[in-house]
Amino acid sequence: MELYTRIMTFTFRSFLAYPLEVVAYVLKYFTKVIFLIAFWNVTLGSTNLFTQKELIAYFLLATSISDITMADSGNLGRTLRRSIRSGGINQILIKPMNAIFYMYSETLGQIGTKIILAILSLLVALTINPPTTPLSALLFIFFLINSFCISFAYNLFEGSLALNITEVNGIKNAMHHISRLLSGQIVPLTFFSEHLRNLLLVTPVPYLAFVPISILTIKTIDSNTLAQILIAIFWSITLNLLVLSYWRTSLKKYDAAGN
Amino acid sequence: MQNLKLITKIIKNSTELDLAYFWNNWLSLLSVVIYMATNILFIDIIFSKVNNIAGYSRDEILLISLTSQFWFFFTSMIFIKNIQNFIKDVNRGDFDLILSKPLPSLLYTMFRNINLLAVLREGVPSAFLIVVVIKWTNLNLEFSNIAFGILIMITGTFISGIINFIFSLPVFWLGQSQSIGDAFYQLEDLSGHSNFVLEAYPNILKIFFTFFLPTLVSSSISTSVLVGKSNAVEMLAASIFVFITFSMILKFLWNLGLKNYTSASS
Repeated sequence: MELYTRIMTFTFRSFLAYPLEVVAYVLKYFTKVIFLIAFWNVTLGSTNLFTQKELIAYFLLATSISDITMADSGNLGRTLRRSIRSGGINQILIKPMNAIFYMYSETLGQIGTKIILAILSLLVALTINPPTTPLSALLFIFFLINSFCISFAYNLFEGSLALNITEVNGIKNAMHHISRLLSGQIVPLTFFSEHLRNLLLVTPVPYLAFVPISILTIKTIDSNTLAQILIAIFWSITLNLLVLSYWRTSLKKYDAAGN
Repeated sequence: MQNLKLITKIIKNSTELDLAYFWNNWLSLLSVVIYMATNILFIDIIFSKVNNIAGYSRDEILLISLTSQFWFFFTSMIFIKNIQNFIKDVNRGDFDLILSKPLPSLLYTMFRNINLLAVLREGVPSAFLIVVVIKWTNLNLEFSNIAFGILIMITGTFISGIINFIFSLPVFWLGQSQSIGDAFYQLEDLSGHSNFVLEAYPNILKIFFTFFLPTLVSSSISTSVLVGKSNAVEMLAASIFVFITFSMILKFLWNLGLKNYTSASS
């Protein structure tokens, strides 16, 4: 564990070596949030679908959750892809350590600034739009952990694909486009028709962002909430088991440079 | 003539490199089709709840998606890739190799990789998808506006390449500028493209994003001209002015940067 913490700290410090880069990173983060809110403000200007406060809270939450769990840009997947493509993974595989933990620590170090900003955004959003009951607060934490698990599987799947196809930018982009739209990161699923929304809620994608946010307003556990909890647990376990198995199989077939 | 020969060789080399990744080529195509399909779905979802966005109808918003695609494919697949390579080269000390070549360094750095095949392979199907879903009869398009709009779109794409390049130049002084470049690219994407229309801005921001940080030209302004919401001649003149000004700024900063560049072998 100490080794992985050191890897994370080292990578984070390497990034901090360029202070202007950190400033630019912070600006980039807020640009994204500000323009997302501005776009929806312009779009919904003449309607009463969302209040200004709800809009800000929703997109702060959606952005921060997807950044913390790496569901937005698939940072872990990117680290895996890059090291596979460059052959850098070979040096990790021959060492007595867990390649996934190593990559995860490195990724956490690379996006340390983003995670800190995301946590701050999450706190601001929860202050603007706090959970309605202690139960909704507990469920929010549960769904946040669940979102992390699903996102982990999603990132690892991307890395596993790279072991088989090497250059997976295309499929990665396709996955990201779909997940951004259907997880509620760029548009709340309340905009979708009820049929489509109900259909989507059976899939793992809305559990990445929309469900954790919507759960903040519940007061009691009804049959819908119970179904969402069960579906979330099902996808977290199933996806991770499947993807871990795919990763191991792909790794066995992987023909590293120098073989 | 020598520059033309160089560009032709670059295009040939980039195409051969691109063809080496068979699966990725087809999956990239799939990716852009999916992206466009999700973008169209996104717009339709919005217009199921609202009638217009800052005065733009569904089809006018789809038109800005079309002009954004032109910007995106040329900027991200030609300029941004070369900018990323440039930053990496300076950061790792490989830039010396470029300077040692008997080539115009700025031109070579800006156009070292021209992946026209990828631009066509992915850009055409993506644009075709939008062309199919736009109800053209709902748009009030005039010939002169179309001609001026396309000219502005092309000029705007070059402006975008130039300004993105300017934002990568701090690498000469700082040794790294990836996040600075990324931050600008994101600002450009969100402020001037991504369905964000010119008319949504207050006047002061319109001026700022047209003349001082020109992110609006290639998509927002060109679309505004295409649909007849802005004066075509004035906007073309403004875009040419911005193009010339920022070309000069780039040339000046490039020379300044080279003077300050401490190479790996120095």
